[in-house]
Amino acid sequence: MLKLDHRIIILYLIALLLSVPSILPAENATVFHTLNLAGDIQFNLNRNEFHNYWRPGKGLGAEIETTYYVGHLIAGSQIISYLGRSDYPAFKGLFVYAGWGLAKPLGRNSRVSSAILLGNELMLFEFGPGEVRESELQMGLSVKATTSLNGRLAAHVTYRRLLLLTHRRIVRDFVGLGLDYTMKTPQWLQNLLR
Amino acid sequence: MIILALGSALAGQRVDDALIIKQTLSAQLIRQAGATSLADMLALADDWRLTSVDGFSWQASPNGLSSFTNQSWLVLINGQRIDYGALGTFHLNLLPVSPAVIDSIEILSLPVLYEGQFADKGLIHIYTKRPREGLSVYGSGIVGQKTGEPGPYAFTHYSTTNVDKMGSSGFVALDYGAPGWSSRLHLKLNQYPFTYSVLQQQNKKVIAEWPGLFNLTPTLNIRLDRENHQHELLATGSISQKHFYIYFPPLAREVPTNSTVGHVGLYGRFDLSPRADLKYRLRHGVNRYSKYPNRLNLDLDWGHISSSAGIEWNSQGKLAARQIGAVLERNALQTAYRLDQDQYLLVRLYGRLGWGAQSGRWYTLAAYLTRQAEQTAVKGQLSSRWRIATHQVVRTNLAYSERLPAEDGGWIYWSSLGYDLLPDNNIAYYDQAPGRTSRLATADIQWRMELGPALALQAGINFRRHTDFQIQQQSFQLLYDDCSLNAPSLVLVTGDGSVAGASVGLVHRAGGNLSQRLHYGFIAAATGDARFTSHWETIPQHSLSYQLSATPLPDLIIWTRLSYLTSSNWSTYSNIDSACNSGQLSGAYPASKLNGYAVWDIQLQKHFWRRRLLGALLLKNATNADMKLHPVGASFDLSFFVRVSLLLVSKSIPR
Repeated sequence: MLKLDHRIIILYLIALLLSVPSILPAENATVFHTLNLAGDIQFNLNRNEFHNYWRPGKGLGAEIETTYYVGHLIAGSQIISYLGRSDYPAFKGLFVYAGWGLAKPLGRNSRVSSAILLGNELMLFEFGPGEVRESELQMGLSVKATTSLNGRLAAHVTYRRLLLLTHRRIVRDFVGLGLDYTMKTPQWLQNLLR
Repeated sequence: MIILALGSALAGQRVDDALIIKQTLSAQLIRQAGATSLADMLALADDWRLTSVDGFSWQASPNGLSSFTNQSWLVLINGQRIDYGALGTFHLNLLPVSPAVIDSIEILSLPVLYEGQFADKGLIHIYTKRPREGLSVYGSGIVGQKTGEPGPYAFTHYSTTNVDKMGSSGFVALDYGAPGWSSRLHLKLNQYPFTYSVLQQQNKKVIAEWPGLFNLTPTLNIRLDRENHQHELLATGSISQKHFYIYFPPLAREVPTNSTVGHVGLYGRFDLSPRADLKYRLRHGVNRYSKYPNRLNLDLDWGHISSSAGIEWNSQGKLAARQIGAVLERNALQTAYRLDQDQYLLVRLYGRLGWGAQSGRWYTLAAYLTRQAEQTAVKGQLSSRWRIATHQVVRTNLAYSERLPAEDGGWIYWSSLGYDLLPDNNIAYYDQAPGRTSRLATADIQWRMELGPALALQAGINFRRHTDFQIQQQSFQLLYDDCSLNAPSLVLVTGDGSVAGASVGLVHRAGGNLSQRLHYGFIAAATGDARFTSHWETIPQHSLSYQLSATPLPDLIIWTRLSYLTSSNWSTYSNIDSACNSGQLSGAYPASKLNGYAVWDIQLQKHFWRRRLLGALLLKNATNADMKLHPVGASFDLSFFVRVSLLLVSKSIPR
């Protein structure tokens, strides 16, 4: 498998940007017009050196997505608990991120999208009597397949690969299963986003 | 300004733009560039090379005019000289402006008479934005973090030093503009931790507290703008009463200090007639660095006070312009002990004559005299601008400059008058050329060609002949117990030699949505004795940069900069090429030869709330290149910054 490096993510961003001309920019009227709310349950599937010290639990993800002039903008968060093996302290990882990506319809009711994510992961360790915090920049790539259940509701499956830019890099793969809800963006929020 | 007036008379355009070879950073570039602080703006200066130990205080070598050890370049804000240079560093980040209030920056990299100063070591002139009509309240905050935290591995045997935040800074400003006058209240704060483990560990051994910098800078700026007279008051102070450090090169360590620097200036102009005016400049500045309790008993004990009063008369004719001026400057140093001499006066007299000989050719001749006690220094400049073809302009500048030791007014000069920081720290100090005047002769030629309405090409060559150039000779040894450095003696010598440089640049602008700039620069010692050429090896010879600003969408701004610098060699540190092995500091010091590096910075900015809110995300050193600017300094790993700017109250929204 391709070794994930932050340079790979940046190259991916460039590839996404290069593909922009093949996609028609949205009309001004549709920019920020719809809001997609998504929630899912996430599983850390890969195993590497990091997992020799910590065992991941199930995670929860929440994401908001809106149409932009080109592609879509994303803001989201993910929380997951890690249990320490041996005496290593357990911690919760809260990843708050923003992203940008492109989507392609697959037939009438489905679509596949890809995005680049960038944010900060806050790690809260249960250590001794108190709590120890660490935080670090995290980059990631995400692929999401969505299929409509009815007009506004959809089901999705996501795969995302995250790179935590700690001194000793940490790579984690997540698969998420969840639901999407699409709505018209409230006018006040459209005003704020513009 | 006479030069400006001459330009109007000759061609209906600004001649200071036409005659003086300089680089201007426009308001648009400053707004779009990924600069987290004022010091970051220096990186946008094409022909300036930079170094820094801690990443907060920077030393610059402006286009071969001086090296990293002599920081005598000048900084002006709206024409007012701000003297925040002390102990070998100019503290740009303490200046009373934030990038958001800057309108433009002019960078001069050759010796010229400019705003009553002879800028023989380079000059940066910051113009601030004029307050808009009515009340405006706005501010900005930025936080950053360097990558490379230990993260969860902090609890394993892979644990490394916590690099902490990269710093946070911000400002709030309250502007009021009315017909004929305006005012600005500006409060800026800087917080900057040392992210480099060696500095962290060394500083922890000196003081027990958090090893970082924190300072607050309040400023009041009032402008009076009447039909026949204009005046500007700038009063500011920067206070760091607990957390401030100065990296003092002879000690090779950060010295904790309480710092108070300040400036009060009143500059103005009276129009005597449509063709003549009278300017005055009054300035008082303080640079005080006192002791902050520390285990090594380090005490800078530096209280430099500088006051000046100047007057300047300008007149213009149809094809000629004249300027004469005089400045009286008093410098004093306050210490806890008695100096042999604690103050001195400088008298400066200058004049300039500008004329247009024939269509397309303009000239300026300037002379500048500085007298202190029994010594006199002479400086002069002959500049020309020649339009050789419809779209081609050639500018030249020949200059000669003598510089008295007292003109720098730095720790070296005051050491000759009894300032005892070095002996107090067991460093023997020998000056082999006390009181010697250094001399500099320069020649600059620049050619610029407009290749169309959107594209310009420019190239230049320059030559600097340094005589009695001051060099500090030290040979550091590594102390293995705490990885600190020590040099028991410092010898001040002089060297003779010449430095030659060349540059080529391409500028492209496509409307207001896209601008690109490609620049290559070369600078190197061409001739000289061994100590002169060796000293100049600290300056990277080649630089290449590409910068792009684009607004592809109405509310999105993309800025990116790729830069490459070649290697440098620091012989002063050649004895520390062995790695230090002291606990976590193992292998902390590299060889005294620093490798060249290529760095990529990228920033995205998005407007919200109909341009009242701006969010920015900046990645510095996005490819995480191995970037070090000083043998004992921090490494500049991949870092990210988030900035939020908010315009709270205003009649109009800036575009």
